[in-house]
Amino acid sequence: MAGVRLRGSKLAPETQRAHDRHRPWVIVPVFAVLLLYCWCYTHLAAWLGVPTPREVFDALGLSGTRILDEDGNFDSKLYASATEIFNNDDERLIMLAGLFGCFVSVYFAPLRLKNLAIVGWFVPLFGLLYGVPATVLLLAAHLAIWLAFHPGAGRSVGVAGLWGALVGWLATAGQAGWPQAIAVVGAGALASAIYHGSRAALTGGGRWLSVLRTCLIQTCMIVVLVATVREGLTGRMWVMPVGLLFFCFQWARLMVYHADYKDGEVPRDLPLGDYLALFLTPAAIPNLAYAPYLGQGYTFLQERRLAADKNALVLSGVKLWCLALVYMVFAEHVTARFVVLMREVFGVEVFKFTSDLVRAHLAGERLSTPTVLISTIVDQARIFLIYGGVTHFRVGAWRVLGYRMETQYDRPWLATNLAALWSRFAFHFREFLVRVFYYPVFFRWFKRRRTLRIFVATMVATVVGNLIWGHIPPRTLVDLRWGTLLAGLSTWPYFLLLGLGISITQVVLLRRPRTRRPWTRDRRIALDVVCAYLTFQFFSLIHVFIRPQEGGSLWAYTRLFLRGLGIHLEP
Amino acid sequence: MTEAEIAATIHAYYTASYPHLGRALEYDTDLLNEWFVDSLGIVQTVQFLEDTFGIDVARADVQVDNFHSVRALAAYVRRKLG
Repeated sequence: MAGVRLRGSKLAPETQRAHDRHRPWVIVPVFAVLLLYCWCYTHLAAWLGVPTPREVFDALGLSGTRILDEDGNFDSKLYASATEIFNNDDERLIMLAGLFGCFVSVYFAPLRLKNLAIVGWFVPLFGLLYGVPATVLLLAAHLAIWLAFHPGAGRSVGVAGLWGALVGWLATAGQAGWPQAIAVVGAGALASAIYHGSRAALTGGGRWLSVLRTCLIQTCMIVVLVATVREGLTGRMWVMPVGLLFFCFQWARLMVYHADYKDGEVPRDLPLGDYLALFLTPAAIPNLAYAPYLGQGYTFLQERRLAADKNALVLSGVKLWCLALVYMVFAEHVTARFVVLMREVFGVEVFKFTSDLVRAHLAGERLSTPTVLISTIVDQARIFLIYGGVTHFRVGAWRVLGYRMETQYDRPWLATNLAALWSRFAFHFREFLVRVFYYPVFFRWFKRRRTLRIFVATMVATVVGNLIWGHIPPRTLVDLRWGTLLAGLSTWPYFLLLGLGISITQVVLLRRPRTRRPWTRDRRIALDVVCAYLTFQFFSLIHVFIRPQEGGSLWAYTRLFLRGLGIHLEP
Repeated sequence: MTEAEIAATIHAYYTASYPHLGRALEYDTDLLNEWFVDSLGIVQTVQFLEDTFGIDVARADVQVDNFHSVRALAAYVRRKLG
C-alpha cells in the first residue's frame, strides 16, 4: 500500500540517520541527467560548442517535427512559471543548476541542517528567477502563517519583527534611502512589539484565532473571490503579484498543513526553518500549476524524509527524470502521429484536442461516435503523457532531495475502475481530497448508514472539493475575472459525473469486496482489458464538459457527450 | 470474543478482500506497506470493523499503532470491546 498516510508513522531520527550514508558517486548520475536536460532544453549546447539537438537530428536524417522548437533544442513543457526576467531556456538553466546545487548541499548536510540547505538554496534561486520583491512577498506570506500557527516557537518575536520589516520594505518599495529605512525599522519594531504583546493570546488559542488561521490558509480562495467579484462589478482586473501568486498556488498544501495542525501532528514549537522547508524548496519551482499539491503537508513529508536509503532515493529520482524526459519529448509527437494514422489509415476524423472537438461540435459539424470517443481519448493520453512527464520531474526532484515520494502518475492505463484510475493518475491530489474532505465527512456523518456514508463522503470530496478547491484556483489565479470564475463553475457536470462514477465504484467495492487482484494472468484478464478501456474512455469522454468554448451550453455539451455514447440528438 | 478469534476474523477478511498472489498474510505482516492497495483500504477496514464487531472507530484511532498489522488491529478491537 504505497502511500496511505496514517497518524504516527513518523520515522525515528536513528532510522533517518541510518539512511543518511554518503555514497558520493551518486552525484554523477544526477549531474549527468541534469546536464542532459540542459542539453535538451537550454542553449547550453550552443554555448559549449557541442552539437545541438537540431544538429544531431539533422545528422541522423530525422525531421524533429513537434519535438524540436525554433531555436534548435527540444520543445519543452518544463518551465519556471510566471517569470519575465529571463527567456524560457535561460530560466530552465538557472532552475536546473539551482536544483543541482541544492541536491549537493542537502546530500552532504547533516540531518539537522538539511532543511536549512533546502531553504538556503530556494531563496536566492527564487530571487534570481522572480526578483527581490516577489521573494520578499512570498517570504512575508509564509512568515505570517508561521507566526499565526507557532507563537510558542523560539525567536517568534524576532521573526515578527522580520515580518514587519519585510512588509515595511514592500510598502515603500518605490522609495529608496532614508524613508525606506525608517519604514523597515519602524514596521519591524512595531510588529515585534505588537506580537510580543499578543503572544499570550495567540498561544492560548480561541475562536477568533481559529478564524484568523483559517483565513490565512484560505488566502487563495479569499483573493479569488474578492478579486473576481470586484472585476465583475467594476471591470478592473487585478493581476496578482508573483510572490503572492506563488504562495496562493500552495493552497492545497497549506490546507493539508492546516489539517495536520488541527490533528495535533505538527509540533506547536515547530522551528521556522523546518516550516519553510516544507514550502520553499527548489522542487516546488518547476511548473507551478502542475500538481501544486505535490508534497502535501507536514506529516506526509516527515514520514517520507529519508524513509529509505538516500542513495536509493536519489537513484530512483534520477530514473524518474529519465522517464519524464521520454514523456515530455515524445508526448506531442506520438499523439500527433496517432491522429494522422487514424485519419489516413482508418478514415476516422480525430481531433488532437478535446477543445477542438467541442468547437467543431458547436460549429455544427456532425461528428461520428468514433470521432468523439477517439478524440477524447487521444487528448487525455496526451495530457497524461505531458502531466506525467512534468510531475515525474517534480517528484524526481523531491526524491533526489531525500524524500521517498510516490509518483503522481502510476500507470493509469492499468486502472480497471474509476476509483483506481483516480489513485493512479492523481495520487497526491486524491490524498489531499481524502485528507481534507473525505475523512472529516466519513468519520462524522451517517455512521449507521453504510452506503450513504461512503456515498456522501465520496461526493463531497470528488464534487465539492474537486471543483471548488481543486480546479477553481489554478484557473482563476492567473486570470482574476468574474467570467473566468463562472466558466470554471459551469464545468460542474464533469465533476458530478466523475463523482458519481467514483462513488458508485466505492459502494460496489464495499458491498462486493474483490476476490481477485486485477491483471492476474488468468482467463479473466480479458475482462481487465475491457474494464480498463471503459474506465479510461468514460473518464476521457466526460472531459467534453470541462472544456467550455464560446457559444457553448450545457445542452450542447450533453449532446456531444451522448454522441460519444452513440446517441445522436439534434439541437 | 477473544483476541485470537478477532485476529482470525480480520485475517479472513483481508485474505478474501485483498488477495495477494503467492504471498501469505501473517498476523505480523506490515499491512500499511505490504498489503493495502490505497486509502480506500483504510476506509473499508474501518467499515468492516464497525460492521463486524459493532465498535465505533474514531478518526483519531486511525493511526499506525492500531492499523499496522492484523495483530495490532485485533488488539485495538479487543480494547474497544472492553
